[in-house]
Amino acid sequence: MGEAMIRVEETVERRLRGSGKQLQLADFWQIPPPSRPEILFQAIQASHAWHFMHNPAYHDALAARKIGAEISLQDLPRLLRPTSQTFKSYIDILGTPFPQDQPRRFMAWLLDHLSIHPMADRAPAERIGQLKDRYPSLEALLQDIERLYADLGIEILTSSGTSGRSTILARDQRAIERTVESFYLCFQRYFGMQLDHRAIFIMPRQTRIAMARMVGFSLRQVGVPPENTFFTIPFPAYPDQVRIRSGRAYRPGWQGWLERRVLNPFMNWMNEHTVSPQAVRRAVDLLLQAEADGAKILLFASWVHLHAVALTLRDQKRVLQLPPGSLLGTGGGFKEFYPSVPEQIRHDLAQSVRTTDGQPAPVRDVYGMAEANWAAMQCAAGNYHIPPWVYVAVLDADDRFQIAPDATGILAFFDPQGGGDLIPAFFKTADQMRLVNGSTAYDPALDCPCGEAGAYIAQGSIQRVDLLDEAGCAAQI
Amino acid sequence: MTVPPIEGFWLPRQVRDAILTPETEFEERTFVNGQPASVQAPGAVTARWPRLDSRQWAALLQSLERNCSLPPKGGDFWRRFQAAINHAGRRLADPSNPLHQRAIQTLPGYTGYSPAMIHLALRALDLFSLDQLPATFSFTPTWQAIEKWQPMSGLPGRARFFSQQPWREIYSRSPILSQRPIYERSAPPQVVIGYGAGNVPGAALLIALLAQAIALSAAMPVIIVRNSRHEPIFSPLVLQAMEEADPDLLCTTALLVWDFEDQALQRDLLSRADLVIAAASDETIVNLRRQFDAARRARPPAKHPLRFHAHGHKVSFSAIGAEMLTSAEGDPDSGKSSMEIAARLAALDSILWDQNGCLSARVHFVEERAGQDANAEDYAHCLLGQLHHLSAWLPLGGWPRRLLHERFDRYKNLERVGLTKVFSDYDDEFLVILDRRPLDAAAFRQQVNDCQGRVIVVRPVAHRMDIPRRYLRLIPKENLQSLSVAMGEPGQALGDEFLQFAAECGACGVTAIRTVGRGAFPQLAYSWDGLIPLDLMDERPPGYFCTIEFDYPYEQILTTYRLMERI
Repeated sequence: MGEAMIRVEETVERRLRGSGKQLQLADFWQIPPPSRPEILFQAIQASHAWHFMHNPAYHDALAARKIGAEISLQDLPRLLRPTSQTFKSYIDILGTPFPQDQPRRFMAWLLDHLSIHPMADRAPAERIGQLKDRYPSLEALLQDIERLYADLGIEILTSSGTSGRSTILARDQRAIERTVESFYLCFQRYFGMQLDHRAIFIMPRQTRIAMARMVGFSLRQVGVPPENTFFTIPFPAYPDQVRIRSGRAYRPGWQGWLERRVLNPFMNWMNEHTVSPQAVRRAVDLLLQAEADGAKILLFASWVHLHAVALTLRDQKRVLQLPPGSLLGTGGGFKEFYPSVPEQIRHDLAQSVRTTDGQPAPVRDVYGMAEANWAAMQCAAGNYHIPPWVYVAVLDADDRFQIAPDATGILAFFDPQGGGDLIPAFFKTADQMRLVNGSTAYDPALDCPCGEAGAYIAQGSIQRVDLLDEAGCAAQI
Repeated sequence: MTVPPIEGFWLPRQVRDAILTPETEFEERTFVNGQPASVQAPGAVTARWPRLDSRQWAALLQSLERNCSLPPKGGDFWRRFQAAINHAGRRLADPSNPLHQRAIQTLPGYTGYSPAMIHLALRALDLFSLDQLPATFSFTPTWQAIEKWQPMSGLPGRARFFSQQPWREIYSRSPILSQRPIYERSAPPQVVIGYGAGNVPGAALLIALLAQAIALSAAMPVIIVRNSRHEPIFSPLVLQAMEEADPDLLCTTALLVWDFEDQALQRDLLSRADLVIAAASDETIVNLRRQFDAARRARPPAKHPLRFHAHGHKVSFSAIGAEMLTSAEGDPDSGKSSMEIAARLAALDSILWDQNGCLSARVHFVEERAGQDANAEDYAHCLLGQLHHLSAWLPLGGWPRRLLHERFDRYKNLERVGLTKVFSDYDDEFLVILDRRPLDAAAFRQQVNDCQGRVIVVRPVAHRMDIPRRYLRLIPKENLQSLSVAMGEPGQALGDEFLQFAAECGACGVTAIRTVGRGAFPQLAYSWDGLIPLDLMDERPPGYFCTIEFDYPYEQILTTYRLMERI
């Protein structure tokens, strides 16, 4: 366990007066919401001090904002780095969105963004020279980095990268364990997931996309046996493939020509005509089997795939009757011009997937991002609950906290407990939302109707705001 | 206290009395600090405009057409037009005048720009010189302008034509053809429909005044301009003041707000239009052109040429010549160095309208030369000082600081690996970056996009020709607009080297070259996005003009500097 985490946990433990036990994330639910911010602030202080000392990029970014190793409560907004650029900054530095072309410079960038213990031998920076001059793909490079830095337990994750500019970040084993713990605790608490669920994912088993990977890991942690976990997309989703299929960024030269003219149309055609229909058919078959077996299911997929399931069942004139406790989950995922909105998809699902008590199977969304080692899961009342070990606030347009029990702004989060030692998990997102009972403001009267106390994102309030509004006649070119 | 709505439209008094009735419905928009807000919000400013029904529109068009015989023409028009403009300018510039006060009370809240910015705009109306407008109508560019810069008779500066028909090159080579005029006389427009957009004050006014200039050589057309919902206040105030001075001048002009989606109305208006002037987003312009083409096909063959003047989204830049990078005294009156003067005025070009305007300078290209007193880094440092000074005088408007912070973080991150240097602080309300990295087209465009909301990138070049050759050519031609230059020595006229530089910039798509400090003050007599005032009246083959708006750059820079110091 890293020094930072030990210190963070000691700090928190001291606050859990009289508990006399090893700190667990789940303990935070026992702490009354008004007491959480102070505990978390102390954990943030400790975590900040560690990362400020050991993470060059973080140190310099904050020093430029005139922040030192010691912080006060007022400094919190200045600790936040934007999710939209922190782990995409390699593009600016390398001058290309293709790290495989400059593996050593990329690795230097990555190490620069990690908080690593000083090492006596085989120091991380010295191993950079062992990387090849070029790699045929991003996946090949990332695999080699993971091999080379196996002793650090580094695993590299990406965002979905559909913009053509992937977020690339690393987690160590400790962070992975914490993330998995974070996800499974929330699965249990907000989705009611238990050992007897059968988990069906319309997604590939092999992927670096952070959220998909963590959801899969977490169900294993819950104890869902491998034979009850199904991934219905039979192909891996490597970052290069995701990029080409998204059609937003292509390699230069002939490779780019091939990607644009051949691979992109082919992959999209294959996806539309073969992969997706097959994955949906397989999911439907598994659902029918679960219905026959009387097994509770968790079906986790993008909105588009969930809709495809509903439409397939409708075409087959089938209405699934699943045991109560079954659940449909999604982490978003919309095609740019998909004709149906989530409300329509929910409606269509309600017609096709029901529970034996006569109710439509609940459909729950998950709000998360690659940079976060946590996710906010939608409760029965429709709100998204922030795990209590994460300090959240919303920022106004000038990056100041809005301290009010009901406030709308850009979501900022601090995850000193679950964030791990490798990366300071203090970020401002590119999402605007209505946050209830966040920051230091707490009003019990605003507690979620589901009965859960603590911070939550109000249903239907999440919006992306990273696009610059055009105020005048100046062009975006 | 709720302030009564301000009028976001303008109709000639007599037309207004006849058309608007107590039953007329009005649409209202309320803003606080440039953001939509409720009427009850503190500091809320509400503007309103009538929603005319089809009967009212018909009556309006009839009234305006009937009035076409009233406005003066030619020299008489010009004399009265100037008098009316001067009257309006004096009223708006006078802090004790109610019109000035109304502008100051409403424009900052509605648009988000700081009161000081509005003050400056009201007091700097002198920089919108109209004196030269009549001369531009007597300028007859010939095909020689494809090959060389042509003097503009009666105006300082030069003009060059960039034809979209490559075969026209032969015109410039033939001694006879090269002397033929580019324009052919045609019937002047009788109905002008304009579209103004954005929150930079005065877009609709600019269109209305430009269309009015047709009266210099023809009958005044009917002019209907769609005002911007994001800034509907300034133009009606000016027109109101002009009407007080001379009601006949404006009796064919109307400024209203209507919906682009109102297909029937759009079809009706566009089918009447001989000339459409659209200053709007690129998407809106594409839609308008489509609507105009459809309306044109539906109407009987017109006797007049039908024209569509598009002014879409654009980007502008500044260029600082190596000769300005000197600490020697540049202005004997103030004792300021040439570099300070250049940096002050170039800073103004970037921060006026908070860099939201198409004329706002994004990147400052700085020519470095061995043996010069200073280099681009010194310039960036000097620019920083000027921005501190100007920001205290002209604070940033009500835009999110988040964007500045994100860009600060991004460029600081690059600074860490030695790729850029950030001169400003996290809490400054502007950002100054020195960037020497070679960039490909995508990265340069991204950088240009970053430069909004007072983000200035200083980009050194080894030679001024690198500006068009290495950078401007990376921008789509149709997106380039103006270049503000700080170049030249005292008493130095436009030399061959400068004209070659200007020609290469023009070939990249630059349509106006003016001196620093005048970026935000377009001159109606010169090229606006490649169109010159003759385009309002006459016909020419496809292509665009680039104009140089001065003969002696250094002297014009000094004049601008002294004027700005006075303001």
